[in-house]
Amino acid sequence: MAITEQLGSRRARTAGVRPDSPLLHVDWVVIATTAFLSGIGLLMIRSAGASSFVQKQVLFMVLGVGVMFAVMSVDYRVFVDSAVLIYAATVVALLAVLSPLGTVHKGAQGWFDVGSFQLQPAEFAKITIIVSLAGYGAAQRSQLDLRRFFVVLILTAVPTFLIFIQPDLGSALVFLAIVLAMLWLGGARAGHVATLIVLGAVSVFLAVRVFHVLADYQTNRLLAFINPNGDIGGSAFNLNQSKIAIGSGGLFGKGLLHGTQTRYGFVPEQHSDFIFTALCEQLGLLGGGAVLLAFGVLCARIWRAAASARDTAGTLICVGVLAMFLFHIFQNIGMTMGMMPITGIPLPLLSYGGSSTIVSFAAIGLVLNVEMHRFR
Amino acid sequence: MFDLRHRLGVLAILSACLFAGLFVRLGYLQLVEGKKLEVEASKNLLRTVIVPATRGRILDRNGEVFVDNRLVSVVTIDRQVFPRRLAARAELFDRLGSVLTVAPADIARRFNSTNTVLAVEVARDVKESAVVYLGEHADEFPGVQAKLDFQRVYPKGKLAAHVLGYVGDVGDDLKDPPCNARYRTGDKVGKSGVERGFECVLRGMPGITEFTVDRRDRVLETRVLAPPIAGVDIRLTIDPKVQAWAESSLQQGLAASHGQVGYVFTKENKLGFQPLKAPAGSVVVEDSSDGSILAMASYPDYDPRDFIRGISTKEFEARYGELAESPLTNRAISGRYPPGSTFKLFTAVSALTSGLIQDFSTIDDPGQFVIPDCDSSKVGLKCLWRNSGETPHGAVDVRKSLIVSSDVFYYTLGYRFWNEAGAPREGIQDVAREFGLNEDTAVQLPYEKSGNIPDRAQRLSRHATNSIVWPATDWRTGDNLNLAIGQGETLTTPLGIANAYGAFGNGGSLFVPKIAFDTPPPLKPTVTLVPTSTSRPTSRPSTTTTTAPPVTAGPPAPGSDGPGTARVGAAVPTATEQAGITSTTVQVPTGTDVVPATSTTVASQRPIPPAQYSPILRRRIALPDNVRLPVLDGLTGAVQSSTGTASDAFAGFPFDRFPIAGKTGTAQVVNKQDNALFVGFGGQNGRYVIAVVMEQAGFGGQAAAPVARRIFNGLAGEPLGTVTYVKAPTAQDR
Repeated sequence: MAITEQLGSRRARTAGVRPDSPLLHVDWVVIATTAFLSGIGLLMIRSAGASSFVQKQVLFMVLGVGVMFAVMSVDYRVFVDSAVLIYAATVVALLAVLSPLGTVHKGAQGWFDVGSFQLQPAEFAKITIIVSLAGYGAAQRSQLDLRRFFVVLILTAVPTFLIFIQPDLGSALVFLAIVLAMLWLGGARAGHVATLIVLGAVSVFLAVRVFHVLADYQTNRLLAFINPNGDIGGSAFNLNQSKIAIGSGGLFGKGLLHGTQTRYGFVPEQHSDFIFTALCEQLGLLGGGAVLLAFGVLCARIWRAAASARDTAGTLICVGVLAMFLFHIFQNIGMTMGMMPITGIPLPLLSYGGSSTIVSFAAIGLVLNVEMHRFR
Repeated sequence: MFDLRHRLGVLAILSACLFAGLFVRLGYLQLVEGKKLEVEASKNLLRTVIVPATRGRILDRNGEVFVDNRLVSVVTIDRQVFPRRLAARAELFDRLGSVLTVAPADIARRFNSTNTVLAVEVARDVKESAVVYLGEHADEFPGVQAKLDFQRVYPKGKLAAHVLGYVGDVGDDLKDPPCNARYRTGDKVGKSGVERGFECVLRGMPGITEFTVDRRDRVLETRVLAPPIAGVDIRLTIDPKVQAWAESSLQQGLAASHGQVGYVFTKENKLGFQPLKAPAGSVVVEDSSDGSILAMASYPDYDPRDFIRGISTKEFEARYGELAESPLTNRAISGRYPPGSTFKLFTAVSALTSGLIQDFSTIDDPGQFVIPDCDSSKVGLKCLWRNSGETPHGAVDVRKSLIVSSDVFYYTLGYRFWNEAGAPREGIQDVAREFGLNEDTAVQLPYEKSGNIPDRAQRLSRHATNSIVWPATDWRTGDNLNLAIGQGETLTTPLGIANAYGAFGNGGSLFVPKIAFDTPPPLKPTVTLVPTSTSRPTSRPSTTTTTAPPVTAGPPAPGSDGPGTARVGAAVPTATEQAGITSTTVQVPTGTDVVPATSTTVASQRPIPPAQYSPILRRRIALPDNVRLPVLDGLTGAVQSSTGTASDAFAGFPFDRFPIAGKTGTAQVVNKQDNALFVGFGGQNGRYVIAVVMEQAGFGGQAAAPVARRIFNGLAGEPLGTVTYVKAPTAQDR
């Protein structure tokens, strides 16, 4: 249906299209910002060394753009209508990855090997859960009462728990951010949301300090964050080196490929989790500020899409994506600057990584989809 | 219903806050903290390494190598990188041990022996294959590194061990470092002997190299800020041949004395007979014409090779027995012994100089001396003083007093010095002090002890300081009697008494004994961090301010005197003889001392330092003929005449070709057996002075003189023979 509609629109455009045609309402600011961020990402991955990373990342981006267009080509209400299916598929995928079908990378049972690439279902689950929750939320006509509030929590808790036991603490936390934002905009009572935040904080504290559910390296990361000068494994070292790298960049940076911290290996994972560090050391406050600004613009446009969406489902999708991006951006960049503990969360659009890149593009596709359909 | 717009607004504000937070933090890091963090970033990259300089070699008189350097591989463990868990450590020690073929326990012990934050050395002189293996498997051995280091080697083994000393890790020395140099934990420093005495010149100057490194400390760039300057080679005056004779003779002498019958003197002065222990001793051979030391032996000795990698007290005891006899002590300079009868030379000189006696004045020696007006009922007063064995010597003049070693003669002198009107009361002390016996000789070796010449002032001050240790309240006649025969609180070191005899033998020139030929002054002690590639001194202006003036005055060499004896010493070196050794400036060949330590050419190819020697004259002692000749005759007779106390030991020696004069001594030590001494000089103009001190070895004429004889055999070109204990002496001295 969508394809015939698009073909029809293109024809109509030349001959004078209808003013509510989705194709006329594509947000080019979002696309430009996305292109800018992706370009900077490629540049930084290139500066980090291996050209094979660049080639692969270009491939991921091409795939991502393809997925983005695919997502845009179908009216988002189709996704919303099939929320139950999408949710079921997500849970099945997350269960499957915990089975022998999945493989272990970086200590987490969270990957499917596809040829020479790895798929990370947890990344994809972020948008599928956004869509699923939007579908459930759109079906409600009034403010969320306590029962529905719990339904939403349980719907989120299932995939979150499956991801948490991989274990992938960072991704699990993303779901917390997403569900909070979507509950808020979905009409949950402020008191419920506040209680959830408090309970969540208390249970995280108990889990970490009393029940020790975290792996040693996770505890070390937290401790390193609390006391950066202590010598706890390499975490404090990484954190400190990242701060040094960013600070030593100054206003204009040390120049592309002239970052001593990144070039000589003092900063770890500089093509993925610590890519912002590499950026700030080489391009300084100007480079880092420009990227922050671009993220700001992107988020503002997503917020605008949420505000202008035609229906609740559209608003919830955009808010979910906004929460996801915000959490990623704040957690990742905050981590490189010592504001947040170290978790393996990538910076959307910039960090090297297949699943993350594709999911980021897909998420932007969803937002564009909502926005272009705001009149029809 | 809820207000969607309101809730979107909250979301917008929250988002804006998060972004604002990131912006502020970024700006703070990059603009406010930027400069500080920039410094941190550059610190990350730079490693400043102090490159130790090659230590100077130590050569013997002939320019042959005593101590050299060899490049060896050393394995260290960096505590910072090494696993913290004990199990992981033990496992690594095991693997490391199998690679190095060293016991893992040994590695663990050395690793745990210090708590330095620096890398700990756990193995030394490691095989090349092991170094290669460790390099290739660096990931499996976190914190383990192999590096090159210099190690001392001793081509002549343990010869002259006490003179050479040894090097060790700078430890307590850091508090008061030699030559004010900057040492770092783990640096090597001379601990004793020449290694310590000449530390400032031997150590050279460490260089500074700066490395740019990456995260894994891989070197990306190397900059030499200051190349290390190799230490200067030291050419000792030690003659390896004479040194070997001295060491072997001393050992043979001690072995020969061991088990012979000897006395023990207790506090109550009772005699007890016991087999002689003869556990230790010392020999000094000095060139009296310029003060250069030819040999210096001390027993028990040690092997410096045991100290290359450090030695624990336990290991040391296992190898050297109990520490009681302290094999590390160089008794030649650190041992203080009562000189006994060898001191009579100075009493005689004093008596003749002060006019107390004349050349042929005689004193009757009935075998004992009673102090006049002595009240024997007073507690602690000793009024009756005996000769050794109570032998009466009859009418004794100064010559005979030295030949037969008459104690009564010197008791009488001691009494007269202290009690006779017009006599200088401390005349004996004055002469002893002039011969330098009250101080150290200022030889450039560490731990030299000074001698002690007791007098009234010292007695009073000692008693005032501690009346329990020093109960005697005043100087009494008996003390002067003891002083006259070198007993009581009179103490000298073997080097001190040898040097004093040398001054008498050469006609009155008291030198500061020197162990090495002239060395350049040490480099400036401070290391600057400023690159100084051009302004490095390559030749050092050498000013030796204490150079001796040419010795010109002195008594002429007398002819032979007395039947069958040839007089020694006498002749003072003439100006021409001195010319060869007296130099006022020292030429250091330019460029030879600037050798980068990184060069693989180890010191061996370096040129030999010149044998330039500037004697240091301490003072001229006036020895007019009327004083010197009678005493010299006495010393000559003690060795050469048939009644001399050392005559049996020197029987058959070709004195006509190689005249020798000297004095035996048998010194009492409270609660111990007698120490045996011989000090004498021989050869042309009494050039070679030999002092032999043997602890608890009995009579000087029986035990010590044979040791000196064997060394003189060598010096005179006679067959060396072996040292034997003189069983039936014609005379026994004290």
